[in-house]
Amino acid sequence: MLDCLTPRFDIERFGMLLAPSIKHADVLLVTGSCNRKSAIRLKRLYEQAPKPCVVVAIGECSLSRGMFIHSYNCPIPLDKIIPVDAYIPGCPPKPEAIISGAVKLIQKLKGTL
Amino acid sequence: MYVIYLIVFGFILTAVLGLIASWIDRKVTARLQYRKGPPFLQPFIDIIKLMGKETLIPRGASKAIFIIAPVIGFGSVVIVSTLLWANNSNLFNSFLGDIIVIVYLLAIPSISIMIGGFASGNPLARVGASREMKLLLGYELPFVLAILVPIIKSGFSLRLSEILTTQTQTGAFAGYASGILALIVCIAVMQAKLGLIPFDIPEAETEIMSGWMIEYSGTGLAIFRLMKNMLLFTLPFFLIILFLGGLRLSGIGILYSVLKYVVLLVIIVVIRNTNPRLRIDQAMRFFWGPVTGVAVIAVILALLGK
Repeated sequence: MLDCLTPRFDIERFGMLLAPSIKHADVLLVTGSCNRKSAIRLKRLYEQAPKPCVVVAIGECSLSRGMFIHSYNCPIPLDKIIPVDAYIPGCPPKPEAIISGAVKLIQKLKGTL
Repeated sequence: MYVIYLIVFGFILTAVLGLIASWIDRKVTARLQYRKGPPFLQPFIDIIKLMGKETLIPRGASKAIFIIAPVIGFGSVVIVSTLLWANNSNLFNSFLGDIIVIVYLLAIPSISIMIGGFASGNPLARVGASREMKLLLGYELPFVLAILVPIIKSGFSLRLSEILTTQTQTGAFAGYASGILALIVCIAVMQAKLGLIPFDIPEAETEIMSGWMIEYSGTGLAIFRLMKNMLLFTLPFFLIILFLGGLRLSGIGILYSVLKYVVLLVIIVVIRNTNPRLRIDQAMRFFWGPVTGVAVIAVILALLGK
């Protein structure tokens, strides 16, 4: 994900920047599976974000809980906790995949996809 | 008459030019890092998007001050740019002591940052606001000393119009030794007033997570962003009037005016991209030590007529 900010991939050409706090952000990226402890924090973070806010799940762990799917500690997948707008698969997803997901998300928000 | 200046020049024109300047800033930064940079309309889209977002007020904040702080800073920037445009386009719009009014009004954005940061009730915002206060104490002294130079040069006049007319008769003050020293001091101070690297100590993203503005969202953040972007135009404009002979908006003069502004903007961007962030004590030592020294030398040179 950090790769997207580097010169080779540069996601700022679509106007995106890394926001220091969730209060300044429009997109919440979730990059891991939610266990019993972190699900509560994630919910609070989502409630703190000023709406409208979109959620992007990045990586197999947040999509389908990946290798933690049978774990006692990961009872529910991410999209049962908060609404998810875009899914980017991969373990880990390549920067190109993330950029393609971001572009598709822009198109979805504009209503052209 | 002043209402037209306030709305057309002070607000709309300055906002548009400031947003374009912030796009140039982001684009040049990206090019310096071998990136491609944002699309042209991105700053405009950002501001409009933030206007449409939800405004959250934290539970521990003092509500009225938290909401009103960005408006105070924004209003003062609009008034400063109105005064500058009015003086620049028509010399009879000046009044005695307007340069003092502008120096005071330019301190108000920092004060609005402070009261906004303290009112939000977040410990990180408080750290950022207290750093902004220390930084303000640091750079005001050399700033006022450097502004004394054009005042002395134009025969101890406190009108912007007389400073401008003196420069049309004798050439820009930046051509003198004292003028160029004062201009260098003012560029350092401008960097701190804009809150850019190396003086972005109040909003250090990596250590206190954008400091004073951490609790702002939606419209409040939009107004603060717009204020910052308008300052990115207004402060270089003030320096151009003081040291480089103002902006002429007729004929070939337009190109020359754009050149003056772009040179100052590029200096800001290059300083921003080639320096690390200072600690607050290093910044204070820098402003009260070498910068104040250079400003004092400039004032002495100006008194000697150099």
